[in-house]
Amino acid sequence: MSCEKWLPLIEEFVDGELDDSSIKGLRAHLAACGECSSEYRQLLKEQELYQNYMRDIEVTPALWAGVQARIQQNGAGPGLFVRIRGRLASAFTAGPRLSPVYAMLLVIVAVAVTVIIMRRQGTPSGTSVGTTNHATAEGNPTPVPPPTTPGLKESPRPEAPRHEPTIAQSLPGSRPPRVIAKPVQPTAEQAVREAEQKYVAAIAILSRDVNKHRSELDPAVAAKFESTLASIDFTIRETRRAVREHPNDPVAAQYMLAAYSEKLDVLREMAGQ
Amino acid sequence: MPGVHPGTATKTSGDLVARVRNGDQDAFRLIFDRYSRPLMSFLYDMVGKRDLAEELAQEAFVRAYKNIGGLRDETKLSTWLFGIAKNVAREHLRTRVRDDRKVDLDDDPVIELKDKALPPEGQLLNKELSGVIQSALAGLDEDKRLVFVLKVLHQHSYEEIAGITGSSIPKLKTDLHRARAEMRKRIKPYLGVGNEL
Repeated sequence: MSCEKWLPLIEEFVDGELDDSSIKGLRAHLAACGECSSEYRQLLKEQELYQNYMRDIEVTPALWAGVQARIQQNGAGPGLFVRIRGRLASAFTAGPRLSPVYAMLLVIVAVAVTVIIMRRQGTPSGTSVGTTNHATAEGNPTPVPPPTTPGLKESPRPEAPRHEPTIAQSLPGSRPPRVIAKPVQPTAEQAVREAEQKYVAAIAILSRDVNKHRSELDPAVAAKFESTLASIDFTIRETRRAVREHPNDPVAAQYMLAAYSEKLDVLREMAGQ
Repeated sequence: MPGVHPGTATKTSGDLVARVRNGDQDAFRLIFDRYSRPLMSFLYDMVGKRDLAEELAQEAFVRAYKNIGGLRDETKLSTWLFGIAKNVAREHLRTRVRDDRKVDLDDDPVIELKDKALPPEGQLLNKELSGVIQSALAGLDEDKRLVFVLKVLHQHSYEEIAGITGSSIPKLKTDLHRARAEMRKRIKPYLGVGNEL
């Protein structure tokens, strides 16, 4: 076999795609042919070169935030989605200084909605599943929610009638529910999810701003910010997991929303740099 | 994926895909965590701009989420995702006007070394070398760039590349050979006498 026939096989050999029988023949040829052997060494050197190729990119938290925001916005097919995206883009990118303002408005609305709904449901601040509901209920003017999650160890029932007879009486069904027609769990959970979605949307907006001006940041400062963001993202992931596992736990929800809020603060700071 | 037995990887991918189909966004986040960097790197190699690569990566993942019901073979998740990314990149490349970064073989090199001279013994710092490679990639036509990136930079198999691109393996080999030759011409001047590394 002439060198012309072996040369293509050398590339396949370097690529790890040559079959065993051909490898044997090629090795024998390389041992005898200086030209092909030189080509083989050249290909190996180039391969090593390409392995050292460093791309000036990194996967930032903004990438997932953007994906998530678009997935949540996209509810009616690509045509409608593209149109809605265009309208949102024009509404929230009026200028580099306005989008943080819009983002903050979203956050304020989200937090207000969450607080209002959770107070209506009588979810006390600082209560965690299976722990001191008594302590929380004692010091907390907000009513203790009727326990609806099965399997929980807490026993707020004795406390509930003292603080909120209206809600407690609606629980066993002795009266038609006047205050709250729906079960607490889905409503509070829904509120938390809505707040979370608004945070995610606000983060996506700010992240776009930040990404536009990322190259203007001092590299050392940018690295510090990224490190902080990575740490916050970890917290968000962990608290989200806790919220999914314990949807009735307001502490987990508050920690999660606080982490989102912290992320927004960092992004605002980066946008303002 | 290095360090992962194929059976384990495919089983895990299949499980994740099934969960995503049931609306489990956390499972999709795991898929994202696993593939975001490879896909971003691939898109960056294809389009050459970081912000654009991120934007296209976002688009690719959104499409993946929307269309995951159409993934027939869950063991081919990687091939499927890269196929989506390839389509996203292609759509962008075919609509944009060729920019000044395209370098013909006879043109002067776009990337200049800091001191306007080859470093001693033809050795290049990694960062500058990366710039040279990036510029050389931009000079390849789309098909050759695609195959070169997938094979040489991302080390997919011929079979996977055929699945991603829809091309036959003989065509891939031809494109790859030509891509290597062109890349060698573009990079050779920066490697010094004798192409010593």
